[in-house]
Amino acid sequence: MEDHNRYDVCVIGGGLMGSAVALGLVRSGARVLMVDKTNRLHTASKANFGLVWSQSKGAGNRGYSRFSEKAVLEFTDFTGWLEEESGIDIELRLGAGLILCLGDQELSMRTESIRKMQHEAELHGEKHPSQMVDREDVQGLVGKVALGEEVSGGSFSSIDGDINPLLLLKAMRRVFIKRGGIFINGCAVKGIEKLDENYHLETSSGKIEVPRIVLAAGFGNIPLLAMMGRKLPLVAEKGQLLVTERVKPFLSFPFSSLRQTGCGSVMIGYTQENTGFEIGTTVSAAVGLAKRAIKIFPGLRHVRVVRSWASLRILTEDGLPIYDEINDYPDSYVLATHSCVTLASLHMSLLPSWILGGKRPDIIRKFKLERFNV
Amino acid sequence: MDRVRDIIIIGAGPAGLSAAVTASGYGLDVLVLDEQPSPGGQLYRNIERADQDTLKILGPDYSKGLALVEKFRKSAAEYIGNAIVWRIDPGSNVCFSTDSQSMEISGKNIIIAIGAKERPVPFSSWTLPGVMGAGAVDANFKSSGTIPDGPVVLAGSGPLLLSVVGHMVSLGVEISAVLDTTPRGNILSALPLLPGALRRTDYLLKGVGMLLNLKRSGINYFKNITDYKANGKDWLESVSFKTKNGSQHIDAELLLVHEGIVPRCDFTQQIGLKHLWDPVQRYWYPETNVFGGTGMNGIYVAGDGAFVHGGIPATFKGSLTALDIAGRLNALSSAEKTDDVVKTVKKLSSELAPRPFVDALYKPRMDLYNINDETLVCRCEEVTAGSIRQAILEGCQEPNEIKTITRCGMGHCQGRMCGIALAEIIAENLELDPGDLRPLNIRPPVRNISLSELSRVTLLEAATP
Repeated sequence: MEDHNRYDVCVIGGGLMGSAVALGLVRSGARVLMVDKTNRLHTASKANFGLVWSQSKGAGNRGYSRFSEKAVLEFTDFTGWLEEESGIDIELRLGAGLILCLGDQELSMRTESIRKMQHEAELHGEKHPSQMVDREDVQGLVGKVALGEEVSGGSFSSIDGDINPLLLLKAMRRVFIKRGGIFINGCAVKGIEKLDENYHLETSSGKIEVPRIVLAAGFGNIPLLAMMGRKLPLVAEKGQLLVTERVKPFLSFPFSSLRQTGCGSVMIGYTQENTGFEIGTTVSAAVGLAKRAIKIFPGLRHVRVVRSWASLRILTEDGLPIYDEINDYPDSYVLATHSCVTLASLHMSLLPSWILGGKRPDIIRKFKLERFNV
Repeated sequence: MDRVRDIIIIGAGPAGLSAAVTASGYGLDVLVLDEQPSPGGQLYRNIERADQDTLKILGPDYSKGLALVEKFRKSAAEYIGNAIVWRIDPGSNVCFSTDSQSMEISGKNIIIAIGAKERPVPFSSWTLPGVMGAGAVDANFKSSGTIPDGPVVLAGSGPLLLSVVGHMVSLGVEISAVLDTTPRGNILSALPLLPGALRRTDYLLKGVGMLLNLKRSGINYFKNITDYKANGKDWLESVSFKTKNGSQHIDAELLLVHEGIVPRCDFTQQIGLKHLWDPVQRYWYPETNVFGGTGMNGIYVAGDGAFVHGGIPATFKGSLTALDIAGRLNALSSAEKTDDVVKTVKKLSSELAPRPFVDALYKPRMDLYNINDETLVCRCEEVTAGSIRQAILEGCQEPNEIKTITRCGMGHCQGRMCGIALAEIIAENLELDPGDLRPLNIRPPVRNISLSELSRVTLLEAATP
C-alpha cells in the first residue's frame, strides 16, 4: 500500500457528513485522507429525501433551529461554489417549502408547533422564518393542481427547499478529490490507537498514521467509538419511501412528505418507525403512503410506483446533533446528525477550523457528547 | 379465493407446472400465479392454442409441453393467469395484481419459478428501433403467429440462436446473414468435456443437425465475427461487424441478438437471497440446494431461475422442489420421498450430462462487455459506459454505489437490463471477479403499479394508516 502517513487529518466516513467536512478541511489547506468502508446496510446518505429544511427543526431548542436556519441561508452560496467547482448541477430549489396537513387535528398540532418555535425565536429577539397557511393559501402556492378534500393547510417557509442529495454527495466528493484530497473507498477501520503523537489506524487497506481523526461514519461511529472505550447514544429511526415514474412537472417546490424531483419522478415519504436496525420495507406502509399521496393530490392516482425503500435516520436521544472532541483522545472528533443535507453548508464552512485546532464555534457549543452522560 | 395456501408457485413454465402437478398429486393445496394468460411459460407459450403448423415449425422441443400442460389442467392445482406478482415477503407473503386489483396472500411455501431471459448486452446503438432479442421473435410467433419482416440479421452465440434461425427458415423469413460470435477457442476448452456429453448423443446430434441445416439453407453464415453494431437514424438501416478479413456492412430491417440465457433473479434479489456468480456462463444465480431450497425458510427457486439447465431439466427440478415440500408437510413418507427423489435425480443428471460441454462451447466471449464510452448501458436512465467508468475513477467500487452516483439501474426496470453489464464493467476496471461484487438491489414493487392500486391492496391484515 502507498504511504498514507503524510496527512494532517483522516476523515472516517465518506457520506454526506464526511464529504462535507473533508471538503472544508481540504479547502482550508489541510492534507486530508477520507476513507469509507462502503457499509452495505446503513448508508443514510444514499437514501435521503433531499430536503434543505429549517421549519420543523429545533422546536424546544432555539439553538438548533437557529443553526438550521443559518445552514439553509448559507446553502445558495455553498452550492453555487460547489456547482462551479464540480461542474454538476445539484438541482437546488430554495425559497418555498411546505409541511402539509390533512384534516383539523394535523393542522392544530402543526399550528401549535410553529407557535412554539415563533415564541422561542422572539424570546431571543429573533424571528422564526415560517408561518401557518390555510387551504386556500396552499392552493395558491401549488397553482392549478387539484388538492384533495382533506387538505387543511400547513406551515410554509420561504427559505426552505430541496436538492438532489445524490448529486450533492457526488459533487462534494468530486471537488474534494479535485482539490487534492485522497479518498479510499472500501476501506474499513478495524482498530484505533493513539501512540506518541499519532493515531494508528488498523484498516482493511493497511495501516494509517495520522495526527488527527474525524469520526463521521453515521452508525459506523458506534463501533469506532467503542474502539476508544466510548459509547455513542444513537437511535435508528426507519423511514420508508415510494418513488413514482416520471411525470410532467406539476409541483415547483417541495412538501416535507412529497416532492417532485428534477427528473420528474415523485418521492413520497415517509414513515417514522422504531424497529431497530432492520431496513425492510412493508406493504402496509406502502399502502399508507400511497393513500396519503392521493389524499393530497388526487391526480396522482394513475401515476405508477416504480420503487420503494427504507433507510435509517441517525437520531440522537434529543434529536440534536453531536459535534465533539473525544475525551482523553486529543485531536479526535466525533460528528453525528440526521440532518446532513441541510447542514452540509455549515459542516463545510464551520467545522474545519475547529478540527484543525482552532476555537470551537460558539453556535455548536451545546452539541456536546457529555449531555448524554455516557 | 382462499388466501392462505400450502404452496404458491410463481410462473407456469416447465418447472412451475411440474412442481404443481407433483405437489397437488400428494394432496397439497397449490396456487399457481402466472403472468401469461395461459400455462406454458416461455418455452411452451400459448401451447394449448397452437395449431398443427405451429407445432410442426417449432418441433418436438415445443410440442412436448402439450402433455405437461394437460397434466397440469387435470390436476387439482388452482391457476390464475395474467397475474403480475410485484412483491414477495420472506415471511412467505405474496402481493399480486390482476385486472388492476392487488391482493396480498400467504403461502406456507413459495416456489419462484420465473425461469430465464436472454442476456442483455449493450453494444453501439442497441437501443435503435429494429434491434430485438432473438427470443422475442419466437415468443411473438407463439403468442400471436406474428412473423417478422425481413431482411433480418441474427447475431450472437448459443443454441437458441441456431434454433431461432431454424424456425425463421421454416417460416420463409428473409435472412441476410447470421453473425456467429462464438470464439474459435471455445471448442478446444469444451473438448475435454465431450466424453460426459456422449451419454446423451441425442442432444449432440440435435445440435449438429441445427448447424448442418444452417449450412444447407445457403444463408450467409459468418463465424468468429466481432464488434457487431447497429446503424441507422430513426430505425435500423444496417449492421456492421468485423471478420478476420476486415469490416463488413449488411443492410437489414431487423437485427436479432442473442448472447445466451441467464436466470431471472427479480424476486430472489428483491427478497435478498444470496447470489453466486457462474464464471463459465457469467451470470448471477441464487444459492439453492438440490431441492431448490434457499437460505430462507419456505422459499424455493425451481427451474432455470435457479440455474440455466433448459426446459426438460426444469421439469425435474420442479418435481424435486415439490417432493421436498410434500415431505416437510408430511404428505408422503420419508421412504417414499427418498425413492421418488432418487428416481428424479437420476433422470435429471442424465439430462444434465451434455450441459458442461454445451456451456463451455457457448461460453460468452471475453470481450462481451468491451463497450465504448458512448454506448448506453442503462436504457431507463440513459447512463453511458463512460459515466460508469468515471464514477469508478472517482472511487466507486460496488454496483449499488454506482447506481446512487450515476442512476444506472435506478429506472423502472431496476437494473434487469443493465445489472450484469454494470458488474462486468466494474470488474474489468478494478481487475476483480464479478463474483466479488454484490448484484443491484431490486426494490418492491418489482413490477410497477399505480398509486391508486397500491392504496387499495387487499392486505392480509388491516393496513396501518
